[in-house]
Amino acid sequence: MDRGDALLNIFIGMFVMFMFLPLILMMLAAFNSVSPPSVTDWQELTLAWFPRLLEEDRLIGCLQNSFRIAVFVVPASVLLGLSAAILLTRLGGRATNVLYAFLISPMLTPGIVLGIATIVFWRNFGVGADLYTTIMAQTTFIASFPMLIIMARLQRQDRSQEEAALDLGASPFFLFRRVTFPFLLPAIISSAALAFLMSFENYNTTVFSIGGSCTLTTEIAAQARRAHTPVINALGVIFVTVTVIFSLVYTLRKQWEK
Amino acid sequence: MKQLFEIYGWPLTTFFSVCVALWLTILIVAPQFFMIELSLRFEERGDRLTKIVNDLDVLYRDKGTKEYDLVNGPACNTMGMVNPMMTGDSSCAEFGEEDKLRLELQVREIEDRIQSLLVEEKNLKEAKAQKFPYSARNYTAMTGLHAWTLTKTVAFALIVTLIALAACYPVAYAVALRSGPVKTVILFTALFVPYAVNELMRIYAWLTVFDLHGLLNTLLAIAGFASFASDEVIIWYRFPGTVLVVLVYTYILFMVFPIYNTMATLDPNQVEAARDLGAKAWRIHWRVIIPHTKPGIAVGCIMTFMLAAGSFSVPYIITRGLQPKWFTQLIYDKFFESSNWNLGSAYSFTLLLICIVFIFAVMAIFGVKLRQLAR
Repeated sequence: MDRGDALLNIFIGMFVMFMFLPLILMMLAAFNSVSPPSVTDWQELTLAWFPRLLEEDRLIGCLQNSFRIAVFVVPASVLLGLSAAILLTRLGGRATNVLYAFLISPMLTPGIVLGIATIVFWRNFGVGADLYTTIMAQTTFIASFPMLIIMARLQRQDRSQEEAALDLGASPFFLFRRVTFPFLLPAIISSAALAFLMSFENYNTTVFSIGGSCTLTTEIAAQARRAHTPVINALGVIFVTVTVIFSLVYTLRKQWEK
Repeated sequence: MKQLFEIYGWPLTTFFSVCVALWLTILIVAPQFFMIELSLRFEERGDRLTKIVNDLDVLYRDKGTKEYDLVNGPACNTMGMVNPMMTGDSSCAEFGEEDKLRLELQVREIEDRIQSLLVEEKNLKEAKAQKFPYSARNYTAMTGLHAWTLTKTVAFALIVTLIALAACYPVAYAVALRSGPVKTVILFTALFVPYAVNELMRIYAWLTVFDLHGLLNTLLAIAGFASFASDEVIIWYRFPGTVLVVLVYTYILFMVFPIYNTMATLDPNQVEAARDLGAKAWRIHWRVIIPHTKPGIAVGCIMTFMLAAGSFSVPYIITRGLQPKWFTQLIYDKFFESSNWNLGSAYSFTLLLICIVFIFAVMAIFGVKLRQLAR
């Protein structure tokens, strides 16, 4: 058993290295003065590429678009997900299974197909591909994630609470506001955070539905394909750092709660 | 339904129902329906009707020029260049009555041809409107090269899925069942970070490895197999293998987490009991762990395949135009380069169909129901 465990440890060590090596190389190139970015042709240690980020007007414009899209996608996805979760949990019967299958189908559909279907649909009404169509396309599949998260929490709800409130004469609206909604709030907050991340990081659906506009991800892809400067690597350093900090905070908080 | 009304009241219930109905119709069903509808309309290019429209354009222009000449007299043609300064100059031929008659005759001829073409166009348009507009021609029109590209894309996605499954099962096993609580947290975080980093950034990171002056070529140069001085370096972007490696790298973690999540719910005592009863390691996996982990494996396979087959970002960034196009890139071109949306929709729906077939195949192989999938 020991030898098996040793092999397993070596394997997982290599796996983690495989996952991190390209990211580390990319981050290193952000501190090298050479452009186009390189780690092997090391010239001079520099931080100059970071302030250059602020001079990239197009990149900043695209970043603003990313936020503009997320501002609509996040509330829409959470609202649709919440509605669907409540209906699916409380409706019984065979029809629910069919509805469920339809509502999770966007998660299992390739992103580019969702983008294409959206622009084809809206063209019939004379709406060209732009931020608006991207909001629609992203909401289509992002809403499925809040639905699953909120459904999982609803299934753990103690239904006698609701019944007790109703027996005591609470109106249904009051009940939702004071009992159900507070109970669901943690799930709603985490699904909003997830929806934001998914919207912000989405590429495949976005690039097919955005037409002539851009988001941060489409701009990164466009620059990565041409000759580019280590400014993109500097952006990568920021991305990875933020991700690491959030992961650590999340993990530590979970440990703390135990 | 009754329960819904009792607990949430009719205003809230109606509101929730309307939200779900909108999502279902406007966002999910209607767009797919319109895409499929468009894919079934074949857009004839280079047929008689298109030619007539082009011919009419030319004739109208001709007629306009000749009529202008009739009123103002023809411009003098010197060496094939019209020089307005020379109009009315003595070197220009006189514009007599005879010429005028000839021009009028020509104009009338053109008008006749326009009339006959207009009649033909009208007839063709009526026939087209009456004809059944739908056919499968966009699907059968997939030529050899495009069909080969599709096959290659699907084959690559399958290989990516298999590699990911083979690599992720041991990883998930190590994290879920063979580590103490502290080690589990550390490993989980180590896997979660690359999973949460932006997909684009993870793909972009590989450029530092594959670039002309990247890690691979430098290592080869140090080993003496390549030389920058004499330009004996390998252009890695030309090899389809690079796309495969990056596809695996980008989507492998979508296999780890579903497997880990289901495996972590297995009671370790079950494994212990099997071992105490004398089961060998492979038998424990085959009879205890894998049956329990099936839904996670199914979700992992479905997600990985779908993401790999439908990936536009990886081939777009990694091939840099040095390899034949990927299927997703072909679809992109149909929409944004040659603007044949009908054909593009057909290709897009083909991709969707393949994913649906794959989902049902996986569910049949692992004996998993849809309800068990997305959890």
